[in-house]
Amino acid sequence: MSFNGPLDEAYPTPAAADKSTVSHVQKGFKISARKLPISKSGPIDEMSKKLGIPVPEMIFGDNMVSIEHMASGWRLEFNAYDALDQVDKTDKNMLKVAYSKEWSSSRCGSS
Amino acid sequence: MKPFDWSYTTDYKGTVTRGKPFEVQRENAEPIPIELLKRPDPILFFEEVVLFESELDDNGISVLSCKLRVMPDRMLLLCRQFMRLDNVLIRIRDTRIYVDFNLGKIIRDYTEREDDFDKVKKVQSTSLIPLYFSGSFELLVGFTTTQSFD
Repeated sequence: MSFNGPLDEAYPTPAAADKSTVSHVQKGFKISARKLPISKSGPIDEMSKKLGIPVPEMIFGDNMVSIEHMASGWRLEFNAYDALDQVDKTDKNMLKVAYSKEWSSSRCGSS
Repeated sequence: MKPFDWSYTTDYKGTVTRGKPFEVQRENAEPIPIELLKRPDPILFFEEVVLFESELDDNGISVLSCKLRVMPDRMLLLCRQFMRLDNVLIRIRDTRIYVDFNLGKIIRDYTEREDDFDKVKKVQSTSLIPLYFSGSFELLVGFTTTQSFD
């Protein structure tokens, strides 16, 4: 454990995450959604490091929606981390902004 | 800084955290029954959750959000990425999860659409429908996967 920062760095606490989760059970399926405030700088840095790319300015790292089949335990979730992990981390699919079109030809290669 | 796709375009279709993965339907892909979703069934549960949003250094927007509605016999979840790179490109990537509670069947549908910014802008200004509902997008990828429970 690090003692450089406040001890209650873990955010959201499991209790807060629980409290921010709303669920609905319908015919054997449990549908849930969790809405929490935008991620703080600590978790953002951590996520960025793990992903290997800078994360978007507004990142709701603790948000998620899920569908669970209660009898089998099968569960599908949508979350920001896994979505960002699917972003191309090479220069293969890099787009160019409009104004850069004019001078990009003279600046090929890595930045 | 290492190069990466800074438009944050993702082909994310959700994470199966427990149980078997979706199976790709190779032939006779069963589409999501749109007609059943158009019925005026009561909506018992509705949520909209944003996962991330970027203004792309003031060059547009890239937002990923999920919307879901639960009816008595079925539900639909839409996870949509909307990406607009000003004066360049508009891109939409949709993952739809349809659940039939009575059949214990789940259909997942994934589509990629994009078009030039100017083209979509023209359609938008003449038809007055919201940009992201415009049917003018070129469909690049679309496939369906399923999951069923006994």
